[in-house]
Amino acid sequence: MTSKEAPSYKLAAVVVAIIVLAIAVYGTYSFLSFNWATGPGDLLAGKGWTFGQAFLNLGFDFWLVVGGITWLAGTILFLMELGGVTLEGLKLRRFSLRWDAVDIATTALCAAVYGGGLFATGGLTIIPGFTWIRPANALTPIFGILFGLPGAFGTAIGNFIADAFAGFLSVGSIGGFVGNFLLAWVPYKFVKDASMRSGKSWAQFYLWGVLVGSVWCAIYIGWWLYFIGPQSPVLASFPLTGLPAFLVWGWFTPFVVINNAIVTAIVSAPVTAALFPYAKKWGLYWADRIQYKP
Amino acid sequence: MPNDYGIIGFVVFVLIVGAVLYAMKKPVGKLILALGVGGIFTLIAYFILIFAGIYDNVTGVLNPTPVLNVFAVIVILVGLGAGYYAVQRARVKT
Repeated sequence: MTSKEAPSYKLAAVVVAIIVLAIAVYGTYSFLSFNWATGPGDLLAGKGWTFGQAFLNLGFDFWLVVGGITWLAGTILFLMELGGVTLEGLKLRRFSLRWDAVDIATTALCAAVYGGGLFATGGLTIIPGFTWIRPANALTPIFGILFGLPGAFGTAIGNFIADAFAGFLSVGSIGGFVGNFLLAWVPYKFVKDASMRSGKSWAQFYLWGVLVGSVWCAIYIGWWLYFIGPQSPVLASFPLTGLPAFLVWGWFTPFVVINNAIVTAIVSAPVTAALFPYAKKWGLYWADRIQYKP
Repeated sequence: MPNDYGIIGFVVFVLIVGAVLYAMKKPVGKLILALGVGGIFTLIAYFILIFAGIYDNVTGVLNPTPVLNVFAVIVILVGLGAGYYAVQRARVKT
């Protein structure tokens, strides 16, 4: 970490990291120590996985509205990035990415590595047909911070590939596509120093890359599954997936949060710091490739 | 299979949008077209795996198998190799 930086940033980094790690570790610990003999349905009786129960207690109406807003924001941002408009602070800016051989190769590389890494553990199913234990999630902020948009698209494609090869492909994968894009996009936009040499960058990483990215991705996919599921307010008579609402909000969404957060909190930041000089040297660092338009 | 119509429709939609944008010479058209083509290949692989009986997409996927892990490692290595090759080639050209 740089010595010129104000000590408050270092303190903020430590505090944010501790809070985020505590949430991730608590969620994971409570998941692992859950008495599986009672079954997932006990969530409805208030005896479920405590971390998931906290999500469920907010109610389906809450999630319909808050999740809907989150989903809409994520979808708009995804389409904006496709259309060459990005968010800089609170301002919209037009940018140009050539999508030449290097960008496409970076996207393909990220997709293959992430997809392969994900479906290598595809057999460790948590909710059959929907999610599994995914240590490769640790790669998403690394790809986002180093490669920017090609990394984020590679992450989305990698998740799609993994869904196919692990046997999870469904209409729900469309939500997974954009949700995983956001998982890499959030650290790409909000972690300003990819070298990770400052306390500020570590604080940004834990706040945005781990906490916000993980939660946003989970709620995005969760809302999509809820919206197209059997208890959807719109598609109930013609559901496109079969996951009941209490499983979506009491199991799937909180599990995706901890599945993302625990590995990214422990692994991703030091790996990003280690890989940054190589990405920069090879001309793959996103800030060296993107051009903003006036 | 009926559950898969939605995802097939999505991939075909992406393919068509990508083709239209590519024809209009929009820079992002190349990416979206690549997404669509990649999606088609992914679907083909998916259905091959289903019809080969390697996993069931309704009742509960596959069990952890060394074959899956080996296949995953191959995909990772091919991706890394292809990516490295393309990047190096692009650097030589520029």
